[in-house]
Amino acid sequence: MELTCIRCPIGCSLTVTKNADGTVTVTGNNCPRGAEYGRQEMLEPKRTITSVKKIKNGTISLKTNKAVPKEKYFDVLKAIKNVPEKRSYSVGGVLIKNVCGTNADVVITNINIEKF
Amino acid sequence: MKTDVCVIGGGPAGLGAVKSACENGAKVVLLEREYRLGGILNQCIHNGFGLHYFGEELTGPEFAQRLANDVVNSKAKIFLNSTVSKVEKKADKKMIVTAESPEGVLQIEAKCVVFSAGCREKPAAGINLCGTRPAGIFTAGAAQKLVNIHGKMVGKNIVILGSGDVGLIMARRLTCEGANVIGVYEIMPNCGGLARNVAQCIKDFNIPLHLSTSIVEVVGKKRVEGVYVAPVKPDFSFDLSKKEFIKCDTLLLSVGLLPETDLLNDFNLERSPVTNSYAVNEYYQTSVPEIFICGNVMHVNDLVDNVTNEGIHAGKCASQFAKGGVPCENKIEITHDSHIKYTVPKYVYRGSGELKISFRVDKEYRRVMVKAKSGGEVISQTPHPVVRAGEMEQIKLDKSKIKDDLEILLEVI
Ligand SMILES: Cc1cc2nc3c(=O)[nH]c(=O)nc-3n(C[C@H](O)[C@H](O)[C@H](O)COP(=O)(O)OP(=O)(O)OC[C@H]3O[C@@H](n4cnc5c(N)ncnc54)[C@H](O)[C@@H]3O)c2cc1C
Ligand code: SF4
Repeated sequence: MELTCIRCPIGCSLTVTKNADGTVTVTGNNCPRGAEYGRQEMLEPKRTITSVKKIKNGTISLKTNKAVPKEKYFDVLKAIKNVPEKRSYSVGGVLIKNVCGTNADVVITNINIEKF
Repeated sequence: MKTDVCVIGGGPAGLGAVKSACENGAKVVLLEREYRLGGILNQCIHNGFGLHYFGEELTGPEFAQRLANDVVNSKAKIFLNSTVSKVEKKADKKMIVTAESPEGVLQIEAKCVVFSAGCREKPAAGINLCGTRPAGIFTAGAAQKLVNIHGKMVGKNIVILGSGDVGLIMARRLTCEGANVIGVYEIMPNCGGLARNVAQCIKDFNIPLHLSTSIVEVVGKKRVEGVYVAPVKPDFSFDLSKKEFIKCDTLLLSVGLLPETDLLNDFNLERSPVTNSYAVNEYYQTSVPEIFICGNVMHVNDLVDNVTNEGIHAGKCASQFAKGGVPCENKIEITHDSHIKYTVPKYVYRGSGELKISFRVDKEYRRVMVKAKSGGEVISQTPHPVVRAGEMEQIKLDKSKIKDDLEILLEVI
């Protein structure tokens, strides 16, 4: 499998192969993070998801605090849309714990309310 | 109000400059037109920032907050909601910076300024886009602000022109918000954005990326109704015989960024035609010694980590300047071969210490050696597995080895 490593802006071209004994070989990586990414991508691709939710008077920016399985991407986005409004928000606070059973939390990264 | 250093713009470049100027003992004033610090980072909600600078992966807002915290806790005087409208130099060499703020007109008298106002996006007129100008045409960054800060969607069926990073990131973002991104069209034979963004923004979502293809006409009266696209021939003319109509309601432009240099127009600073900004020396000082620049207003960067480091360097040099001056004897112009489009800085002074040179190349090369030559000798060699037009490269040199000239060369090995 030919991949582009997304773990840093260099974007190394990786070649990932699954061996007969179930192990995975990664070549083309410039650093150990690339090997880790290649292996993960072959076995279970994961992504960190970022999004925005509308709140009263503005928006909050969000991220998953861990990479979550790629097939859960749109489930996580939907969970964010559907979660009811809270009374207050703080940067670094958790909006959804263990989102869609992924073990990752959805965390608030910014609050966008313009005050004049 | 009197100060040593006046920093204009509180994005990552300006924040880096304030931090280091304060740390180096200067009195600092920061002027920012928005209601908060952080600049463009506030709308870049995706992750991937800070691996170099903070050693961990952060989102744009998180990176901005970390930088801003340092600055808020420093001795610098910060003015928000304050838009600089004029920068002048008086006969006694003092700089006067005028800003419109909620408290009225501010006048800051400074020994020098660090200009870090960032960049702006090229609009439709900037690329001579043919056709009508209905509603539904946005620059990618404007769309990013609407969607990410204001929570407003820009359209349903979207075409993106240009494959710069902001365009690629918005292709993913709009898909996640439920839009149908019909395709990304790029006039060049190669993608303008980082390979990682092609992988995680385009391929992950099966969004078609059409290289060597461009939009030849926009159609629509009140709202965009569609665009005509056509292949681009090697001589950059359009092959109109293969013109095709794409129905869409929204067009995003991701066709390049231009340094926001307007406020310095009257100074007639030495320009750098390739960067659309000004030529600088190793202190990021322009041809008017009281004016330092850094970040995207100096040259458009791809990585905020580099922007921050530029700010830190400019702030340190500006504080040194305010305290008595920076060494400026034996000026040398850095020259380069035709594979290299420009270098920052353009000028260095003989002396000692480390010199960092940033540059961009004209196209992709694999396995190259970047050589620095001075006095007929190679004084440094840096191997790079690959260099690309879309990515800024850097080399470091020992200044004490520089004689009367300095040439940067790219050799394929
Ligand atoms: C739309 C867009 C998206 C981007 N996305 C990414 C990305 O995903 N990843 C990445 O690494 N880089 C990205 N970049 C590049 C990004 O601009 C840099 O990484 C970095 O934010 C540039 O920092 P800066 O401080 O030079 O400019 P900015 O962040 O633009 O900061 C400039 C600041 O100056 C202020 N200012 C301007 N004029 C005045 C004035 N007259 N008076 C007072 N204040 C003023 C502005 O309000 C702003 O706060 C993006 C750029 C753009 C335009
Ligand atoms: S392999 Fe390492 S250096 Fe290469 S892109 Fe991945 S993280 Fe970056």
